[in-house]
Amino acid sequence: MSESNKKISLISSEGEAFEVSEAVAREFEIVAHMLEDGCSGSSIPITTVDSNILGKVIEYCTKHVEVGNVEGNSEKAEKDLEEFDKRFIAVEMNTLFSLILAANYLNVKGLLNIGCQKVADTIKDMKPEEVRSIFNIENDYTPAEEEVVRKENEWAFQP
Amino acid sequence: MSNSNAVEPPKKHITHPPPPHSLSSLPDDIVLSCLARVPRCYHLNISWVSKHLKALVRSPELNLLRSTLPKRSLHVCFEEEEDHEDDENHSSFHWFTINETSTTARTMEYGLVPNPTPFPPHPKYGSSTVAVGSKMFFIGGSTEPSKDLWILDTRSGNMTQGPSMTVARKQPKAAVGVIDGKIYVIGGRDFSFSNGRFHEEVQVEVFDPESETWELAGQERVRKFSRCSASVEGKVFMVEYTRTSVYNPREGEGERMVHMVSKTLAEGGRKDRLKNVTVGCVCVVEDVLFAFFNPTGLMWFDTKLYVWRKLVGRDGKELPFILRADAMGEYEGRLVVLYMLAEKEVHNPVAKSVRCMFVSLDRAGDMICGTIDWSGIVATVPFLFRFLHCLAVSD
Repeated sequence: MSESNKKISLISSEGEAFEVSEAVAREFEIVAHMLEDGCSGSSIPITTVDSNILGKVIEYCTKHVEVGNVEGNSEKAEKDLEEFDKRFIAVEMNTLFSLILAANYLNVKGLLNIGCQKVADTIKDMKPEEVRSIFNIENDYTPAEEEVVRKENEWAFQP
Repeated sequence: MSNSNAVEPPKKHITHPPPPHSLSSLPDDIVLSCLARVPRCYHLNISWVSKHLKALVRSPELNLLRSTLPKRSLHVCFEEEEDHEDDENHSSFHWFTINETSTTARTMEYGLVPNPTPFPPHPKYGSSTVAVGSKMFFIGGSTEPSKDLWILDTRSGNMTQGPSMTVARKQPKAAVGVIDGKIYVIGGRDFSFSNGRFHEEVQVEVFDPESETWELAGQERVRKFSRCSASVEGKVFMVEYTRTSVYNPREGEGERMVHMVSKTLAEGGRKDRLKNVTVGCVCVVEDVLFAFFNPTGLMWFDTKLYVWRKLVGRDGKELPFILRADAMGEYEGRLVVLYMLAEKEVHNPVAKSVRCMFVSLDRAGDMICGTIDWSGIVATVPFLFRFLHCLAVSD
């Protein structure tokens, strides 16, 4: 298993190098493809992801690789990983959006899943105006259009 | 690093991409995969946020994404009691699934059709029943207390006996619910009214379908009556004639069971209560507990305030059309209401029709609004049929 000891540098948009094991780098599907395509260089630029977010994504992948390597006691390991995911994704919205974008770009499916799930869970129990302010969405309804919506759905707008 | 060029987005080179401040700054396909994870009942509420979100919520792409999520079938079981000379209970059971039948260009029709995989005849179908994944579990006895567990694999139609419980229990007092994939069985011991109390200490037992083992989960003070049960938000709710109780496995032993003082109604102040009602049936749709009370009608349980609330229509008024419910279940995020009606014109009816309503649900704030999407007759059955189960099972 000498392969797994190989180190690869991922370079953030600021030019900062993050040294990770090949196993962790391969969690980034985009990097895995580059390695398979014969890109054998030891440093790979990730130009659209900044240091802060790249560091987080590496933290996520490292944890998942570590847990995946442990044999036995799988139920407890799975629970721990669930707990880790929960804590990991409990971030403010800007960071969440950046993580989702990075996970999408780097093709880290697990992270993209928990990111989208977090948005879905956050959006669920909110009033439309709360969704607007938390997700910073512009209300593009005209007052007249809004009035129509209100009329059609009196049940929801009762005090 | 010539390869790195191929994967860069066709954008200007920015060394420090500004952090996205808004959900709208994410590409539509990412927003769609977020929305696909939001239960259907929140879609209307989301469509009020902005026109852009409304377009996404109503887009065929979202339907397509949602259709790739795991699907569940709604299985309906009827019991037919047969008259025999001896006193023994002779019942036969008949299983169907709700399915789309003839579909014209614009309208969808539904019907009860026989199972693609027939379920074998079995005397234990009448016991406390619950579904986990694609399997159904028949727990305890129906008329006599029993420690038995039978497991039906709905994909193969195979019925096998599982390990026995410690306590013999029987339906309808044994409440069952599913929390984190495990089956909780509460109460249901054969009762003796010797001390005249309504509560008794009974072992709660938990079955893990993965390892196929039972575990004792501690003594709880349970009501001797438990009419209907279902689990939402990681708790088992027991709804019966005068009370709603809730079992929360995350509390300490002896404190997991909470008996609510009464069926408090949200409308008309906290003192307004459901009086002289009986509960017909309960079901869970997208993690919300629904119950049909006679004569109050269809209600849902607000787990924030622990009160029952009425399901309202678009106009904010009560839904006038749902007057009966003999069985309820979930079908593609919608509430399915079933009831039977004997044809009036016939003096001595030999058959009755099974009527069905599909109700789509929309949530906003503290309210849930129901809209009847479809209603009609889904089957005609012999007069002695009665509803036994209505269970959503993974395909």
